[in-house]
Amino acid sequence: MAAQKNNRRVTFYEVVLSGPVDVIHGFLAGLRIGAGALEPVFFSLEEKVDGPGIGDRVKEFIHVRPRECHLIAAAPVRALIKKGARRMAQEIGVELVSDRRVKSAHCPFRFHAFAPRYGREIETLLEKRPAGLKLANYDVREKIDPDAKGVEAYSATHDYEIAGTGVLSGPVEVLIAFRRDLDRHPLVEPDLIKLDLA
Amino acid sequence: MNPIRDLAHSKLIPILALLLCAAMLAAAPVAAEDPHGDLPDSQATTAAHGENVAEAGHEAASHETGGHGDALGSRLPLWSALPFAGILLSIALFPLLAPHFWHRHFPKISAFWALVFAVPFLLIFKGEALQEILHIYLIDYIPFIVLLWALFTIAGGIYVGGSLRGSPKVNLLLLLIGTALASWIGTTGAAMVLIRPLLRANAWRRYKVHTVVFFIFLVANIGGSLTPLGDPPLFLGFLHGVPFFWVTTGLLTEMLLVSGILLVVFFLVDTWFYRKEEPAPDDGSSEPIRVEGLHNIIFLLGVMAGVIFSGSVKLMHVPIMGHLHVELQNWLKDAWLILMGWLSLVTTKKLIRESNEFSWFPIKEVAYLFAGIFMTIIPALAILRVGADGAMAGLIEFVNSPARYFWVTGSLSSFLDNAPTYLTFFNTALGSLGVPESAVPGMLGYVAGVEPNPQFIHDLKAISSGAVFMGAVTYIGNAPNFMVKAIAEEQGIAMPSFFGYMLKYSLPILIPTFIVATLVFFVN
Repeated sequence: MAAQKNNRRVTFYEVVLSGPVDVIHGFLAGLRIGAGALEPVFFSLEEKVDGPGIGDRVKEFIHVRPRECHLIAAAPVRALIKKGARRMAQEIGVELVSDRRVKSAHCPFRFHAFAPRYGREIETLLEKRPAGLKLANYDVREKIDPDAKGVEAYSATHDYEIAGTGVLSGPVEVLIAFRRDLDRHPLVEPDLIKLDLA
Repeated sequence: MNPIRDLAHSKLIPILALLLCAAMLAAAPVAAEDPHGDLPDSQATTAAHGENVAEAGHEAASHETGGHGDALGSRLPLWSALPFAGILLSIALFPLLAPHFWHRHFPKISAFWALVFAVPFLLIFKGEALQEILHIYLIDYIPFIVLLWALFTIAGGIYVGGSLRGSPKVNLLLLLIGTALASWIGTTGAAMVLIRPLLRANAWRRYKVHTVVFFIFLVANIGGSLTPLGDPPLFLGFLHGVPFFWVTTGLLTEMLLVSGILLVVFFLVDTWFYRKEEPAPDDGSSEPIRVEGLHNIIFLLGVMAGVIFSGSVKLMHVPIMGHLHVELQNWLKDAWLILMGWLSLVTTKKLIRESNEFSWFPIKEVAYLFAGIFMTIIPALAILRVGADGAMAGLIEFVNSPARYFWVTGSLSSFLDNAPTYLTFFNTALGSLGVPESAVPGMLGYVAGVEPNPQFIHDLKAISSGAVFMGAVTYIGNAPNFMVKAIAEEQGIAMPSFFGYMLKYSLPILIPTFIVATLVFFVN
């Protein structure tokens, strides 16, 4: 894990910058290349991390770039951003709006499947979650109705049904990576990652 | 699985046998009751497919309107149609609110609504009621079930194997084939045959929900608009005098426009999603497409020939009760369709049906539910047939243009089953013109020397299009919609919820398409 050095977990921050998003992308890339920083930085909108308001999400939906950019940045990158923004604010029009430490993060999710193999697939995915992620409030309901086997038209029911909900919590960078895996599964609906900020 | 044994063990055969016994028992005392004694012979000929229009057309339309429901329709109160509303709402709501309860108990619920209407109806109207009930079961229900059974059995014997890569072009081609096929093997049959190849082709894709939704739009609904075999409402129209090929020519432009728009939209949407996909895995799972059980095409052609035969020849009348009789060619047609289905059963490999996950359950559902629908629809049809003299005069006054017929029939078909909805508005159109069913072929220009009726033609195009096209608006609009949804879900596709389907797909895609169709075809 890039965010871990000598088993010591790197602290992450939610950094909010204002300015043209493309410029912010370039600014960050330049900073990291220049400083040789390999620690990760995530864009909240792209990684479905709570923070950007509904307006920003609507803008994202209609492909209009919002003016504010929420980032989840590892401490060394955050330091670079702060320094860079201070120096170049006027030149490139990027300003630091806020900067808060991420104490913890959690992500509610739900799933619904109608064949045992998909149920098993999802349960295996959750069981094999990365170390450090905790699963809480996990509630699974499985329903088997042999009478409902086969194809129906007017009374379509499934002979097998599994539905579940739960909340994953843990280090934000690990949660972001695992949320991507959950999102890739068509029958799992992960919610936004919620941050507990200092 | 042995389909023949399953069929014999199913409760469908006893039901049909009971109905036939009832018909035969009723036929024995020919001098059955007719309390009013004012029913013209021609009224019973509504069983015929309108080939007798010449004779009927010469009779007084006012007397004939609506067959033997004339007097009855003006005496029945509006609330007598409540069981009809009850069964349609049950079909619409139970699968959403209590699917497992509905799955176990729908035959009882159907029987409940049928009895709620039938018992008081028989007690009050006695022989007249019995005649009405026999009429609807012999003329509508049995041929309807026999046709669906034959098409379902034969289509279930055709299996499309292999797997293609679900690119936009391949998906477009599959939808195009399904749309074209639906009119000839029925929407349920086409959906059953093609949904699995479509799902297999797209198994590797992340974005595929839209493909299944467009499959429901096109293959499970709109594609079935070109023959009476395509969609149940059109077969009911055929049973009530609409010539077999009238819809083929009459709805062709409407179907082409609507399907064309949807296919173009699908291709654009699918291309957009396809570009977001990760590259297709080269896991060697692609197999060439193969079709098994192709000999069933012969039986499909046989079904078509049988249906066309029954609409083209006129043999003797078989008296049933009072003025009710059945045309011999219709019984011959039904026997022929059963033979076609039976031949398909005995000549098709078991493995093919197993691959299609073929079972009798869907046809049992249709048999049980339509037994209730046809019983409870009696008062609604009788009232509509008497037009402005009946308790639904307001509805008849309101639907006074093709655009209104299209949207009212369509809107109701979206939420209620489209077959009874079609029949209701078919009768509304006849009631508003004050003409009998036997005049239908003449009004559609199929009888030499009889002037076509442009108003009726426009109205019937709108009713037919509305009933068939708008069955796609919700999952409950047409029987195969739910079937496709359930099969897709079992293959790991996160299909939208009932309202999600409407909000994400029907409202933004179908409704604008139907508005275009209205402007092009149904606004004078």
